[in-house]
Amino acid sequence: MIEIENVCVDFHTKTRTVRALNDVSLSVPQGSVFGLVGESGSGKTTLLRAMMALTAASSGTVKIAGEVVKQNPPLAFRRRVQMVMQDCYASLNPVHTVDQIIGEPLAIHRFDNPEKRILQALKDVGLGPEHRFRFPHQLSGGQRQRVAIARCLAIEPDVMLLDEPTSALDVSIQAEIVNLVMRLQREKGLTLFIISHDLPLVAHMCDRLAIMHKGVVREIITSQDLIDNNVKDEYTKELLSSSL
Amino acid sequence: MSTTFAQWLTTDRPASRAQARLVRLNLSFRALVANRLALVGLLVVLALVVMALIGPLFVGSPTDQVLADRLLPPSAAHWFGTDELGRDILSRVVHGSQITVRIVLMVSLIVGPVGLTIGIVAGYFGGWVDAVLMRITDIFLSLPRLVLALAFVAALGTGINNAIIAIAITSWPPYARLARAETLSIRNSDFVRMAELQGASTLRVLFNHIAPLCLASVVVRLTFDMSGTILIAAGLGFLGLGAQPPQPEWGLMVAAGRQYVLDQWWVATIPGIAIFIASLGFNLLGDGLRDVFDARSS
Amino acid sequence: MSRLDIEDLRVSFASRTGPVPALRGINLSVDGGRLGIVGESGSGKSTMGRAIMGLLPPTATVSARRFEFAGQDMLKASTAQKRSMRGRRIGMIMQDPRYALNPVMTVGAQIAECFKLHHGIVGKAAKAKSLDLLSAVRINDPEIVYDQYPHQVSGGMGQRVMIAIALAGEPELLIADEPTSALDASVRTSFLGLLDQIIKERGMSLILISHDLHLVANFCDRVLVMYGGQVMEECTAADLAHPHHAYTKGLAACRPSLAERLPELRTFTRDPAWMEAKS
Repeated sequence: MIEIENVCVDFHTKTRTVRALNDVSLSVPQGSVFGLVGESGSGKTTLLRAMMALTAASSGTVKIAGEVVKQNPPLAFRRRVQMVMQDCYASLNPVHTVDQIIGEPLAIHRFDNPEKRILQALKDVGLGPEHRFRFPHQLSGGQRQRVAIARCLAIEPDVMLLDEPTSALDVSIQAEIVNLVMRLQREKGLTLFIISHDLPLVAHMCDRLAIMHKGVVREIITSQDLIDNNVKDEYTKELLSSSL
Repeated sequence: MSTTFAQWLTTDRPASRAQARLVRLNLSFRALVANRLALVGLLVVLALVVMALIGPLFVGSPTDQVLADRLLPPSAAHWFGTDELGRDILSRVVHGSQITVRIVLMVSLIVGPVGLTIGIVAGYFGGWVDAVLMRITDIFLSLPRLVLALAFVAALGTGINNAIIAIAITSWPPYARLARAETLSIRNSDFVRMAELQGASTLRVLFNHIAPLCLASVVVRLTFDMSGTILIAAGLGFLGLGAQPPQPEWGLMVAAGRQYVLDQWWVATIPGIAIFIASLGFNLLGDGLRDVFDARSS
Repeated sequence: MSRLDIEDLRVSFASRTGPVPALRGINLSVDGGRLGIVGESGSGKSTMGRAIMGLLPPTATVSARRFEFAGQDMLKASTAQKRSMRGRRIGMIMQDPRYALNPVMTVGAQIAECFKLHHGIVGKAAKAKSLDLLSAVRINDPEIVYDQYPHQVSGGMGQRVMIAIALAGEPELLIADEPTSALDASVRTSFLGLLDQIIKERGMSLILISHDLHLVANFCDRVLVMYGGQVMEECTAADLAHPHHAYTKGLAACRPSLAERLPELRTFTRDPAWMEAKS
């Protein structure tokens, strides 16, 4: 579903060129869950931007569902590929109700029967009709992230990119959201791409994961490798030891 | 029916969009009237509107001259006295409120949308669009308001409609500035990025996401400026460049009463008080609206 | 060693609908060592730190049966007394150096200012002492960092600068409110090691406030688990492996772990009885 081949991204400043991504290749089959682990400055945000067609690759290609991702992609791409952001407060418009927030992508992509779809999306993420006309500030952090997920699900995407989806939440709420995301993934056969700095979390959610450091993919392993401590790369070992 | 209408209006789980909107309106209204000064402002503004709408039915003609009754002091027959042509001042003040409300309304309806649109477009696109729009705004902003209005009236001719155009042309720049500043602060926020990532068109992002967030401050500013609009309209009338005699415009009435101000104080003072109360009302209402919007955003 | 003694501390914030309690009868004493305060958002753990620092906003009402630091009654202390205590005797490390440091002052000037404020040391002497502190927090090129602005240093470095600033007053008690949540995991370990070494060398007490049960269990000697403005459980860090209270158990269990692979993460429901006031 996601094919990333030899992608490099360079940023040019007045004095020098910084290579944010260096020859990154990975592929994610349809219906699987892939994790990307890295610390700040590892290039994981740049890769995400490249996948969302926000940053152009200097060389190499990003393909999603067989189509090469280019700048200013067609509307259909924006429906197929959805994203959940880290800060669930900032990613919801504060003056829109939950109803408007979930209804917006439906209106953009001209879905029929929005009323029914909004209610279904709310139900999917475990919110009741009583939440439908609330504003984001009237919801808890976990509920807000549920709304953000419902907004993406409403338009039936193929791929969901989750950027640190639970790092702003308490651990107990994190567990609920993670269980919810995994249940929806199974039910709808979604392809998930999860970015996180939390190795145990990624190991729990993902089938396979890539470890990134300074713009380079150091290693691509399965979650079972991580649990069995079957890693070869020095940096991965270092990360693993600091998260135990 | 198990719930009363009041409960229906305050419920935290409305059943439909219309009900949700009414509940929100009701709660905002309650917050507004809970503030005593805002309530006073609202009442003044409402009184002004009611006076403009139905007041003329209860008073005589504002232009009937009874030269025998010139410059009579306030009495039972003429509550506010009469002016230099024997016209009833009460009647003129009541009819004058129509002109005032019309000017305020028209100016607000032109200035708000124009300023808001220019501001969010400049702020959202940035670059040369921003530079061009803001330099135009700066040019208008650097000219003294009343003088520019004078120039426009001189060019377009006198009259209330031209006064409205002149005031509108000189008062949109601060709104553009305001909306641009607010847009800059939210343009890079996650929810705008999210809307773009979901494929929202530029128009949708501008008017569905950015404009509603700028609207609160624009409305508050508009309400504050309404008193300024009244004063400028009165000023233009006073200078003889707005409404023309025998129209019962408040500024014009003050100007006409000026020569009698020492002996027949009421001729200039009564319309002056009307101007004062109306602009005070808008100011208090603006204060209250700001508090309501602030409470919502915090 | 200066003791911090708190009995039955209650803090509430004024709001339109009446007072909202944030802390409801907290007992706590610190006399050396490392105390961890753990809780989720809304548990009152940050309010706790600010109450000890005397940094609560004017809308807060504070009462306590006993609230003493080094024999001084903190409730009766004047604003000036509180100010002289802040930084000088109780230091604080905030969550995010990007917001806690002044962006228009160099790192060195901010440390030197603390020497001037707390000890009246100025000029070259203050600079020399600041450089000493920067090396004490294991910054390799103190001379270079001294003249840098906060945006020029990394997150880990910024957090070390925060320790240096807190140390300048030579406080007896250090409060660290989520000091590692803005740091990467690899930097986190070395940062905590440094913090540990420094408080041991200087004989300070530490209160570490965090949402991370795991981190607190590894780093502190004693732990308070807070929920809804109350202490649910107080125990030694070693005992956290076998918690008694249902809330602590739930918190410990719902975190994903590399040790076991579960089909679903464990969740727990909050028992309303936890919110009831304890006698």
